[in-house]
Amino acid sequence: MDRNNSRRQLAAMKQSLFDQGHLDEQFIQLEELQDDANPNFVEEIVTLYYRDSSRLISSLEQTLHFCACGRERNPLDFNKLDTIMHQFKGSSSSIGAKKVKAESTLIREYCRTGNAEGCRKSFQQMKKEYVALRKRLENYFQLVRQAGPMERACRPK
Amino acid sequence: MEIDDLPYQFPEGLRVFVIDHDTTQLHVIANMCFQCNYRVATCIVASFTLHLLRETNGRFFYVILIEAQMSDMDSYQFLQCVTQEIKIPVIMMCADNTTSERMNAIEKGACDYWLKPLNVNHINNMWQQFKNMIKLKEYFR
Repeated sequence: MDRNNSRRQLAAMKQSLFDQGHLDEQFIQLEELQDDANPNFVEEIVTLYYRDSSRLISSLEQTLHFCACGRERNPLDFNKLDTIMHQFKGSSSSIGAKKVKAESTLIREYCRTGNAEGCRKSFQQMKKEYVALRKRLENYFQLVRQAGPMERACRPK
Repeated sequence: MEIDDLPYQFPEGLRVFVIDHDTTQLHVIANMCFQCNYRVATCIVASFTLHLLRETNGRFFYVILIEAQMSDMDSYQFLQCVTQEIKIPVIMMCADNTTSERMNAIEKGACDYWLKPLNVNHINNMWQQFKNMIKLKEYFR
């Protein structure tokens, strides 16, 4: 009985992530790569994403912070920022992180137009979305582990 | 040799080299290739891959997938070297969809330019893009 409840909860959690625009179709692509040979694929990829993105966020903070402090207000290194954001956008989109991806696109636009204030504000917003998504996914996968192995629907190849 | 003369299980076993400095994306793409029963090698560094391809004269791989903005070397430089020296098809992948980038890639010899995030259909259908370039003799060795 407990298991059924877990599964219902899981389905609801996932649906909500999609309905609220946190995840997109790409997440489904990842789920479809998961099979008996690779039963925890999605969680593994998402965990990899946390690791990569933490590092990128540190780099971003360093790039944004360094230029804002100090005796002289140094111009923001937009090229460096855009390079990091290019990678961040790519990896976020590869796991289906819809809102994070959208904010990343915005930051890159600000880079292109040389808008430092826009970059900083967007970055704060993006970080918020990232943290929120990460928290929800961590809860989601915790529940996945509790619910146990799921029957996999057969999909015609 | 015509594409229709190939064994029925082709393109299973297609040997793909995936290059991306982002490990998350690298793993996702590699897994999509595994799903299609391709044989995959991966690398996060383009310069080392180029060295490897030169040393082996590209004997072991049929196609290369590379991120358009690698951090260790210019991907377009990589593209030119591979298409001129080693003559294996190269497909560029990028999260940006600008016409100029796409044109640049094709002009420099890329077989195709894929917008990220990839989906499994990209991988499934890719062999059709370069069927005339595939070293068929090597496949049957």
